Amino acid sequence: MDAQRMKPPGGRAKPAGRRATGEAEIVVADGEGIVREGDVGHDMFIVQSGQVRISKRKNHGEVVLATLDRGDFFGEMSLLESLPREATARAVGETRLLVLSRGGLLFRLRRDPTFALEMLNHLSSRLRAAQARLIALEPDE
Amino acid sequence: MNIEAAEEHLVVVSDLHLGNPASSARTRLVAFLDHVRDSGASVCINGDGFDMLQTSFRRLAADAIPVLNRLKALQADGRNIYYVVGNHDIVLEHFLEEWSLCRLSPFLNLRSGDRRIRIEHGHLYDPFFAQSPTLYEISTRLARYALFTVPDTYKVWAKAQRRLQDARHRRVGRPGPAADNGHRPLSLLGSPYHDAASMILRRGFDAVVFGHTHLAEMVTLPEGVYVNSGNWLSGAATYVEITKGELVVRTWEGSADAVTVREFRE
Repeated sequence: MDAQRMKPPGGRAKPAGRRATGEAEIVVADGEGIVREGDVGHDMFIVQSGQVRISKRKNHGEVVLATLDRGDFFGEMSLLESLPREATARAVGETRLLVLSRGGLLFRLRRDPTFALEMLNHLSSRLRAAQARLIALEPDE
Repeated sequence: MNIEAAEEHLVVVSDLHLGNPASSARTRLVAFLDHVRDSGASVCINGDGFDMLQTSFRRLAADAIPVLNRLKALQADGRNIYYVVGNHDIVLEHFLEEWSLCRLSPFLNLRSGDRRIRIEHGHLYDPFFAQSPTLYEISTRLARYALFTVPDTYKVWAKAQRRLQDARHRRVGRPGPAADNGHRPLSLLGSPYHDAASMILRRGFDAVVFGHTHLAEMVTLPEGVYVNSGNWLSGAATYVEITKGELVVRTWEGSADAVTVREFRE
């Protein structure tokens, strides 16, 4: 795992452990960025403790999309699709994260198969919520 | 498929193997569920509750009906019943749903107090099951004939399991002394269940509760706590009680004065 690649925009995250499994742990201070919208990144993150606020630029401001708690994950879209980050993630309070590289995700899916079901469950919920927002935006006929 | 749950008071039992000729769970379980009803806790059967690989329908029905009646009484009191699928009832995976009596899940992510606890049967981490699921099922079904002929066959198997675990302990180092709070330091490296629990704990869980091995234990791993709820086939009947996130492994001895085996307290 490339420690520099994990360095957040604020730059003060510190690796707290590293494994041969493609996983690492980082601790991010309150308010520090973890990933920034538009940046290139190939890792995903699981919140071990603390919270993470996900936001997206809109006009000249920012819209908060979600606040993630322990056990939630983010960053999987860039990992799976090799596309730039869709949103910005910032720590709320001191936050500990498990960082998974692509190899790390594959390793985990083999060793911790229930994670795949949890990912599918979460992604399905997010898709349902996105569809609901889309419908809400449609003008009534 | 609902895998999230929140309970402030939950009792977890596993490996009842109702219907199995070697299981003496039915009579003990009926009294135990009456005790649980008095305590006001919800119940989670963490896999292998109904043994569908090593039973006859007649035997399964005889064992299951009184237990189901007790579960219905609990539900009528407003308690929740969770059933996590194991390997001896794996056919229930086709029915994962919120049923009128219980919620059937492949595993549970439980919130209790300020803790996150994974409850899972654990058969997915059994090397034999993971590497050769078909052979595993065939050998389990064949063992049914031995159990119907000589129910004590289970005792031989259980003894072999304990010896295997002891051998593993000897190979990787003896367990260190228990701390004042009952925790054992990590000294049992090499168990696939401890490795699996570590992987899950790193995802933001405080504790993992497995069954499957039939060996009740509580071990402190670097990432959190691993608990096994043991079994109800024969010998000591063990269960895990979760109260506001605090886990305790207990032995049921047929009365409310259950004996605490190990405690996990902060």
